[in-house]
Amino acid sequence: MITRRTMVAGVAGTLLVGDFLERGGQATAAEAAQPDLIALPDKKPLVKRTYRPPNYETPLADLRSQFTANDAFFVRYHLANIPEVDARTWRLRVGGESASSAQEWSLQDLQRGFEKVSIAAINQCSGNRRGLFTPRVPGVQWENGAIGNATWTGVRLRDVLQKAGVAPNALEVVFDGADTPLLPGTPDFVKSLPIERALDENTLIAFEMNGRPLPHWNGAPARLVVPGWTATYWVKHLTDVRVVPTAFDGFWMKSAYRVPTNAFPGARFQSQERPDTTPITEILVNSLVTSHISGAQLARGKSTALRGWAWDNGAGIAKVEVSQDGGRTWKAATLDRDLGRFAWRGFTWPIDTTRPGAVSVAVRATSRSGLQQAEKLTPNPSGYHHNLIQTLQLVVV
Amino acid sequence: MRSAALPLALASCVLAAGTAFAGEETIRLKDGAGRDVTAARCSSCHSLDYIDMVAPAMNRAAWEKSVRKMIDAFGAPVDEQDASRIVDYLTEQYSAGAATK
Repeated sequence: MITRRTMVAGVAGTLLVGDFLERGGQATAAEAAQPDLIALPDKKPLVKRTYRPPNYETPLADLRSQFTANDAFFVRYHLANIPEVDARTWRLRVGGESASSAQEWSLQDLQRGFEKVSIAAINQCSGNRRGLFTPRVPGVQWENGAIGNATWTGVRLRDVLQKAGVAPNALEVVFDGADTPLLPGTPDFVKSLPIERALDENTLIAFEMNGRPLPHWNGAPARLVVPGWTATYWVKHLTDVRVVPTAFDGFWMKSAYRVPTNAFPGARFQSQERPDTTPITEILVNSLVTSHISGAQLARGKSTALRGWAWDNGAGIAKVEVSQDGGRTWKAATLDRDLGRFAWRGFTWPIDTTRPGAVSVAVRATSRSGLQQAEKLTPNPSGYHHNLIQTLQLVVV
Repeated sequence: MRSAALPLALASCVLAAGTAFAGEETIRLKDGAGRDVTAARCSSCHSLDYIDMVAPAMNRAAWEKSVRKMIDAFGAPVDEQDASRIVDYLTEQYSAGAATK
C-alpha cells in the first residue's frame, strides 16, 4: 500500500493547472479539512474516508475526464470481509420463489449465452456530499467524489431472468454479493429492486468497466448496474439473484437507505414504501464544477473557462446555467457532446476576467423532465440527495 | 463460516486481527477514560477513523443512538456497562465542539 499524507495545499497543488495562479487564503470549511490521499492495491491515491470497510472518494483532479479512470473510481463498502473473487470459479445463481427454475452461470456462460451490451452511466453514492450538509449528519463524510462516469459492459439482467423464467407473481428481485460481515449478527449487504426496474432493458449484470474487467474494488467479476438509480443498488461481486413474490425485509432495505416519503422526486418503490419512509431510488439533477475550486485566483484579462459536469436520473440534461450576480439572472452555459442520457454532460462557461476583484459563480442544472438543482436542501436524517446549487468565490487579480 | 462457537470477545479479537486493513494501525484515539474499551470494541468491525470522521456531527444523543445501532442492528458484542463507558468516552472526546488535540 502506498501512503501519501498530504496537506490541503498539496492537494490544491494538483489542481493548479492552466489558469490558476496561486490558491487564495479563503478556503471553505469543507476544503479546510486535510484529506489523506492513500492508494488501495491497484488504485491510484484517492481521498481516504475510512480504511475498513474501505471508503475512498475520487479527488477532483480525477473527475475532469469524460470517463472516470478505473483506478481512480470511488470505493464504497459496508462490510469488511471482501474476498478476492476468482473469475474462473465464480458462479451466478439465479432462482427464487417467483422464478420457474434455478440456474447457475459461469462468467463464460454469461458472455456466450446472452447479447453483450454497453451503457454509459454515472455511478453515484446515495450519500455523495453528505459531508457538505449543514447541520452535519452522521455517516461517511463524502464531499464531491463519491461519483464517477463509466461505460459498463455486460448482459441485460432481464435476459438472464427470462431464461430462468419470471412468474406472474414476481414482486421484487433480491441481490447478494460475495462480501460478508465480520460478525455473525451483522446483516449481510443484500438489496432488492422492484420487478419492473429489474426487467428494465438498461439494468445490467456488468463485467467490464471502460472496456476492462471490473476492478476488484468496484465489484469484480460482475456487478449490478442500475443506471439512474443511486449506487446502493449496484451490488458488487454479485453471486445470488432471487425473484420473489413478497417485499424483501433485510436490514439494508427496511432500515437503511431510506428517505422521508414524498420528500423527493423520482421513481417510487411501492412494495418497500411506508407512511414515514421509503427507499431512496433515482438520482436527483445535479452538477459539479471541476475546473476551479472556491478561492482560486484568476489572471486578469486571460480567458478562462469554467467547466464541469451535470447529470440526473437519465431524463437527460436540458440546460446548465450560470449566475454571476448571486442568482438574480442566469445565462446558459455551452453543453458538450451528449455521452448518453445516463452519463454526465459536460458544460463550459467563459468567465469574464476583465475587471479585478471578487467573482461569484453559481451553477444550476435543469433536467429534461424540468427538475432543477436545489436552492435549499431538503433535510433528511441520512444526508442523501445533496444537490444544492454550487457557488464558487473566485478572485480576478 | 465464522467462528460463532468461540466466546464472542475472543472471536471478535481474532477476526479483527485477521482483517485489519493496511494503514489503520496508525490511528490512535484521544487519551481519556474509556479509550481502550472503545478501541477494542469498535475495531472488531471497523477501523477507528470512523470515529473522528463523524465527530463534527455528534453529541451525546447521537453517540447513544450510534452505539445502540452497532449493538442492536449490527450485533456488536458489547455489554451494557461497556456501552455506557464507550458513549461517555465518545461524547467527551469526539463530539461537535469537543476539544481537539
